[in-house]
Amino acid sequence: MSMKIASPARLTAWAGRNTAMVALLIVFLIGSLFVENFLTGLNLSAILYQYAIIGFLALGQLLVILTAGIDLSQGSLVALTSIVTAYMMRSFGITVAVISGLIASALLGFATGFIVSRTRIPAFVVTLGSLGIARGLALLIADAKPISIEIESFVDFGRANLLGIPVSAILWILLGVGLAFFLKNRRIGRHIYAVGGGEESARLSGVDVKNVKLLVYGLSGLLTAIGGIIWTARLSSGSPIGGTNYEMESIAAVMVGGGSLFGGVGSVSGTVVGVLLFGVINSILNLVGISPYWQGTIKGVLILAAVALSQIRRVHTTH
Amino acid sequence: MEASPRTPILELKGISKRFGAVQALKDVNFEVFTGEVVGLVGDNGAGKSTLIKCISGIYPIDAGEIFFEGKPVTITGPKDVGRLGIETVYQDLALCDNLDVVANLYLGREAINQNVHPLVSPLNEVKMEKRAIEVLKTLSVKLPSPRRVVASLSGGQRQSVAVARAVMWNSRVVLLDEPTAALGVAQSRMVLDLILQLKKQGLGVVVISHNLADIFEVVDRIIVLRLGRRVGTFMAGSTSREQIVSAITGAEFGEVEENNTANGSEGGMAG
Repeated sequence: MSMKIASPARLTAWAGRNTAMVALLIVFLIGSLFVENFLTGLNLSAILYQYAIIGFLALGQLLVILTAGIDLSQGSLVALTSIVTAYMMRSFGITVAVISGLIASALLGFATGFIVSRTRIPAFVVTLGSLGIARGLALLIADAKPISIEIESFVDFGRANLLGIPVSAILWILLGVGLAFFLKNRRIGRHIYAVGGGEESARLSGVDVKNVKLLVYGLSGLLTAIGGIIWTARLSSGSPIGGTNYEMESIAAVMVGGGSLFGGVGSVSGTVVGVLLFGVINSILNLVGISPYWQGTIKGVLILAAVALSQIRRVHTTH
Repeated sequence: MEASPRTPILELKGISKRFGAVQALKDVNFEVFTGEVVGLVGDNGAGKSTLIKCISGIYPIDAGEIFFEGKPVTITGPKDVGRLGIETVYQDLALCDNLDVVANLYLGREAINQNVHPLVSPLNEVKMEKRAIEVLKTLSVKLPSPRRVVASLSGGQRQSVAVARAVMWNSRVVLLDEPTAALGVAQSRMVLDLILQLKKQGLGVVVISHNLADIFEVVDRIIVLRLGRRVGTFMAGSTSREQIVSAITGAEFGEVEENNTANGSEGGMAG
């Protein structure tokens, strides 16, 4: 058995299927060997603190992308969640505030899903509209100013960790495992893949395509809201301008993790690896002191490389 | 010359369907009996695919009635049709490329462990795979593995999977839209044999095809559509290919009188 696993052919095949994992291992190794302060508990947990938030968004984005859609509203939904939560916390306490934040974002997600599933308007356009609406609402409610949060227990939640691992990251991974299970072993999960693999075929087979789409955008809103709540707690305030471009990171993570914008292809494990890859790269670039402008450029190149790879893979699987 | 008029397993009366300015079907009657293979032919735009999609619940009909085993039925979607035992194999194969053979065979009616709510019940993969292998075997469909992703199969294999899916649900009527269009000779042969097998099992089979050679090889009766109307009915055994072509193109007949009283034994109006 051990011989089989170690055989070069198998290893190459595995690497071909898990490009993101290989990239993550290489980048992690480079960071550990050559970058000072990279392989420290403090830095690793900082990566998780920061990227667990993107991680929640990426799980939602994965569901949407699996149906051949896209959700551009996530970053703005983070801001809306954060403003609604901070605003409600002033007079109603933590529970009501958190639930309000979750509901606000999920409602907008379901509204988006309703339009995408019931009209022929492309998801790109619909979610661009939601992006504007969520951002506008956040600015309106907050009067374009941040809303600070004084409740200590909420702020503590944002910093909480268990055995040195941020609680938010543990939540993220648990949710990811649950979602992976759901996608693989449940009827709805199967149908999400089917819609992306062939919407017409799925419809002809009796799959409820409309409600599958409604569901994925709604869940994307809800998962984004969870990320938004954690983001708010970390910041100990609500910000109407926060979360900008977060959707780009979540889309990139899904694609780098093997997801295809054509739909039907992608996985939770790949997405998680994609998120971690961006987290590690981001951390290394920061530690080495590379300018943020370069960081954007480098991430852009990575996204392009990922798309190119997914195209190549697509050609391979259809012939 | 059958004496007792049989009741068709599926019968359509006066079906009309309009898409905007286009009258895709006009007052079309259609019937298929058990153990019978009906060829549905016509030029492009004659309304063949529209008729199939009306039967399978994809398009709601504007006017007309549908009878199943003589009883009037209302069809509001593919699920109603599936419940009646009418299955369709579409021209574009209607398979999801990213799913494996088992998942495609069961798409939309996955087997679940019944002990929990359908939304959260785990899929019963073992049951699905066992049954899938069984069905593929009885139809002599050879595949590398039922767990292969459909995208990696050949055209013939994909068509076989599509046909297998249509007949594995104890169907009574199977509609095949251009079943051999994308296939080579040997693979076409396989699908045609499959059609005869379905007939032998007592199913009502409807085949849409441009390939008259295929049609003549397997069908009992040929129904010709032109510009959304039914313009002729022919018994395959007593009709020449030229007669069918004339009816399809309207070359000889101009506006051919309708023949709506077909009962499975009629010689057709082309004399």
